[in-house]
Amino acid sequence: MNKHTNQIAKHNPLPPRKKNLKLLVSLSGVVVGMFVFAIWGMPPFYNAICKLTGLNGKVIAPASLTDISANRSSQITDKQRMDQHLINVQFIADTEPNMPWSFQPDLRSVRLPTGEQKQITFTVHNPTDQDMVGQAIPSISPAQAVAHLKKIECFCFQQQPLKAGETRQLTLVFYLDKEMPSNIPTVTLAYKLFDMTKPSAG
Amino acid sequence: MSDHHPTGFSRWLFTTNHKDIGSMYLIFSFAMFLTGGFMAMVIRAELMYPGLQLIDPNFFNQMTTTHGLIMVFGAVMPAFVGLANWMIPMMIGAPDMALPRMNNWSFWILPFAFAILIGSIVVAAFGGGSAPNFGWTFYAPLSTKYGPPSTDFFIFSVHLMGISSIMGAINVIVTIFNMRAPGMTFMRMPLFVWTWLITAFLLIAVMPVLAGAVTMMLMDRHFGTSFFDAAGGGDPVLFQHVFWFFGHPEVYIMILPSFGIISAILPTFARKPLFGYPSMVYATASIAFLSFVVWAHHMFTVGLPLAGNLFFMYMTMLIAVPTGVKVFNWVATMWQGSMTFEVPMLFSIAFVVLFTIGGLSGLMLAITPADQQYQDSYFVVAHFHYVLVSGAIFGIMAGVYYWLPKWTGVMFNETLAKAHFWCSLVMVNLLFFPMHFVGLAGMQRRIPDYPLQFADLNFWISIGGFGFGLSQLLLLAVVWQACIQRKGKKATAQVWESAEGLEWTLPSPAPYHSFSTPPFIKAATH
Amino acid sequence: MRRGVPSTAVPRFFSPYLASSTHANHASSWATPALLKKAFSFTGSRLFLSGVILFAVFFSSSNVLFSSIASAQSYDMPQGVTEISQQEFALHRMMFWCCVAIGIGVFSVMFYSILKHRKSQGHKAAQFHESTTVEIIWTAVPFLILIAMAIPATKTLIQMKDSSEAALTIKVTGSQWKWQYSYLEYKANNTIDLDYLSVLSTPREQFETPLRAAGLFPLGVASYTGERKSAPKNSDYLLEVDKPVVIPTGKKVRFLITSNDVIHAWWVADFGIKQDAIPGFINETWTKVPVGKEGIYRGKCAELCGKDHGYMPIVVKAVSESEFDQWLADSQAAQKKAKADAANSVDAVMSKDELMTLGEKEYLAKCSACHQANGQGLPPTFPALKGSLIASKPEGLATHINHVRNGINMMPAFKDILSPKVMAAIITYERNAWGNDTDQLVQPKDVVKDAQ
Repeated sequence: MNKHTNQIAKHNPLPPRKKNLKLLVSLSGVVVGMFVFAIWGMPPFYNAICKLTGLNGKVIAPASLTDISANRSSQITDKQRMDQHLINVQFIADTEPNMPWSFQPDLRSVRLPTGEQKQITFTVHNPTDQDMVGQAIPSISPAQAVAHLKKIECFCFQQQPLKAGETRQLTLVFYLDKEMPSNIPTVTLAYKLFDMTKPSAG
Repeated sequence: MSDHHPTGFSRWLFTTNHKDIGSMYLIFSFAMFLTGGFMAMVIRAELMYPGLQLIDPNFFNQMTTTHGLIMVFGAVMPAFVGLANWMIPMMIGAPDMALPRMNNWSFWILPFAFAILIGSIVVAAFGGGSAPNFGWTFYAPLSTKYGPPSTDFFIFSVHLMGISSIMGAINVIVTIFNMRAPGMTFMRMPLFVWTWLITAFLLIAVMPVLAGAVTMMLMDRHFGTSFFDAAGGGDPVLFQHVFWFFGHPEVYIMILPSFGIISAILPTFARKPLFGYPSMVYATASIAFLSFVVWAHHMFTVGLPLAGNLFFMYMTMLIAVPTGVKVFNWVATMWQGSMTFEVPMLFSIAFVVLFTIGGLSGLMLAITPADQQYQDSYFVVAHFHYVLVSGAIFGIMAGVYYWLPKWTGVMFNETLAKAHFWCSLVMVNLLFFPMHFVGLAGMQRRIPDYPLQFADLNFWISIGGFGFGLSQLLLLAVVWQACIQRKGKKATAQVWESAEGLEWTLPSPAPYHSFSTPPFIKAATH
Repeated sequence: MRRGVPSTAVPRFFSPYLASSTHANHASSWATPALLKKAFSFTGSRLFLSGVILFAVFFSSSNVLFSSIASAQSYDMPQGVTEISQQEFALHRMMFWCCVAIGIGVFSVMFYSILKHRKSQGHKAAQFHESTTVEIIWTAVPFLILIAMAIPATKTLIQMKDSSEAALTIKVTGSQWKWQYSYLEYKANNTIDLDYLSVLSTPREQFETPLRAAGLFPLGVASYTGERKSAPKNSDYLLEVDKPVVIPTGKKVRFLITSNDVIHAWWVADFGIKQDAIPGFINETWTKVPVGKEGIYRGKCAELCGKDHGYMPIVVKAVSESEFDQWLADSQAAQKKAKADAANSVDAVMSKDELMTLGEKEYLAKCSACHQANGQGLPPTFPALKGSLIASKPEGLATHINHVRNGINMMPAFKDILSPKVMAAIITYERNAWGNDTDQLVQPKDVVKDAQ
């Protein structure tokens, strides 16, 4: 045993036990680091990638004011409208299966040129005899269109409280920016409405 | 202190000896292999004929889920850790593993982890609730919002398995870094040590990610977060990214040590040095590196953007290059050799052939447009069983037969072992080869029942399944005779005629404490 | 070790062709245990022969499968009817034959070596262990082959993202365990009102035969709950649905795919389409069935989605454009009429017999997958209705109605899927079948809104 330690000691400057512990600690650091990366790193990273590529159409780039002025044509003549390729924008509104509300777009689809601002309303109705809270989550297809569908006013990701029996119109104002790839003929904007009512006590 | 050691139960409970712990890992792994195999046979019994004959679809899903989990985390990975424990110190001339007490803990966590998992399926088998039923990939939201209550036990169990694997991996790295005998430079290490070193790095990089995935699941289920739930702004697809970021390196964790075993066995029985040792090391390292950038090839149908699909397709195809190098090196090692065909060699040759078939079907799966048809079909099932059963597990069996005389000091019953080999070889192909074709014809994975067009082949697949399962009883018999009854001719120190490496310089059976005095390595031993 | 068994007995069992062993070949006198020597006597040539046999089996079977059986399209990837599916098929064929060629190349070198470079043949081992040239070649050549494979794959992949405008948009929603098809827009008409469910139509008694219970062992809760009978299976067993999705040929159809609960995947092999349905998000895919390829195309759910994953097939009926136009008009009219009827029938008062007859039929179709035909469910996931607090006690009525209307836990809401008449019939049936004897009749008007 002694001879062994001696030889190792001659071979390595640090006594093996200390060296082992040092390596153990740094490897444990890697383990903890990867765990932290998985929980606190990957979801934000994924969201950033989604934002960049429009993957899954989850995050919709909010329009800044400069964006709007640069991109939006205030006046579009009929001639321009004729010349320009129109993009078909479809709207879908769904509720999650256990959500009793009704939720529909007032217009199923609209054809519009890039740069033109458009207002769309959605009707949401709470048929139950209880006050409830809903929240709509958007999704856009195809993914390449996500970055170019700019919303000026939107109700998504916002909690919508509705009283028993109440009906309300939710407004979406958006435009398609000029960088919209020309090979996308149709863009679908789908909302899914989820029940966010906190279970009341009793 | 030469061969003195405690006896009885406390020897096994408190042991810090790498050979004892290695044996326990191997026994545990074999028990899990039989358990998971029994589940596979229940699955095949249900699928033998169309219609539901034996179990209901929910229980069928529990069977596929626990079969996958037990085979991956209970059979293949602990078998490799067991072989590492036994062989790495002996191969690098170390007296034991670097962190013996941690070694003991990392083993004894496993029985508890699997008791939890198997407990839930045993309870379910008697009609009490549902065990995890969402597949071994446990995609959200099937495993979160829609998971049975036992999912929480499953999460706990996966955490334990992860901790055990991480401790095992750290131990391997520390041992290899700090405990090599003088003269045992990195480029003189046997390939089994090399492949295990790389595997251990993969393990400490990705097991925490798996732990992260199940932790996020737990938080989604009970603490109101929405990592994987669209309702709260999360995304179920994120789960798949996290899972496969773990899952793809995991696939290589389950094959790299087998590469090392085959690279030890082929030169011995070809009586010729391993061809291209440095390129083998570099190929292993590149496979490990590439495994981190191919994960989304499991997700070609979730709707990735074109650029993503292209990137992951190219990266996946690229893995074929280092894998090809390995196969060519093995063939070149056999070329112009002086071969004999003892049982370890038989398993190794079967490994090279069948793993290559699995690799080639993997290359087909990499082609994204064709994958639109392959994805989630039995073609995929055939592919990963070729690489995991006739790949990883045949590699483990080759290693067990190769080193068994060194462990026990007696030559095992070769007649019985050959019977085991031939039965396994024929049955494994009857079991998995036709799966390619039912998959191509459109049979999807994880179904308890199928349209009539798939009936003929499924019958034969089931026959193969029962045959392969029963063949493993022969392995049990061989190991029983050699280890318990100690029947057989006394093995020499070298055991096999031209086996080379430090482990063959020790007497057979290897003494309880080996290399208390480190040997000095002058020349390459591979 | 059982020395009594002669070692040649075992291999003879496995390869009867090799009755005469190759004892002559191993006369060398190298120093291995006698036992090993004995074992070597047969293995080399047996190994080679079994390799040959194995390959004969592999490749002839693939050949046979591909050329003869595959001509009937039974054990190969279907060629399909669309341009995309045919390109996928061509890629698959190319990859398959490339892999077969590589496999034959590698394995023939290996088996030649196994045959010739054997110790029993007296072959002396060479001692080379590296060759930079060879290693560079077998790194570079596979790389070039891969590039050659990647080019057509990339082309097809880009083509799959077709950018022309679709004539028809259909929203496909997966839910446990059925598909819902909503026609959104056709030839720029965005006021289409057509939306229906498509569920497996194979009668459940064709597969739910003997053991309908949780678990493996018929003990405790798990027990034989059905009769051991086996109804004959029809040829479209598990491939048939009540209402197929109908599309026109010669027109590009865009599918928006989403899910209401877990992840499903919409797979129609003949169109070369497989797209995951992700809850909360929409994915899109498209197809264009050429004119002249009208017919029925069948598919399946490809992603594990829970208990009845294997029982949610897809049937697509491709019809000519004119036929489609007619079908669309008729279906919309029929759906409108059904809705009006449902509204009218709200005030109808049905007799117990009427309710029970309709209720039993609808229960077996819509509810028995989970709650079982005998009302015993599959606890704990799918609770029993027989003798339950909600379904068998008079005071459970309001809860019962609300659960059917709005769903609970894994149970979906039926209020938009079933008419009040059907809901009333099902609830009445559930409250009066299998020994539940509340004797309560539920009328359509009772289920129009949530009960108090």
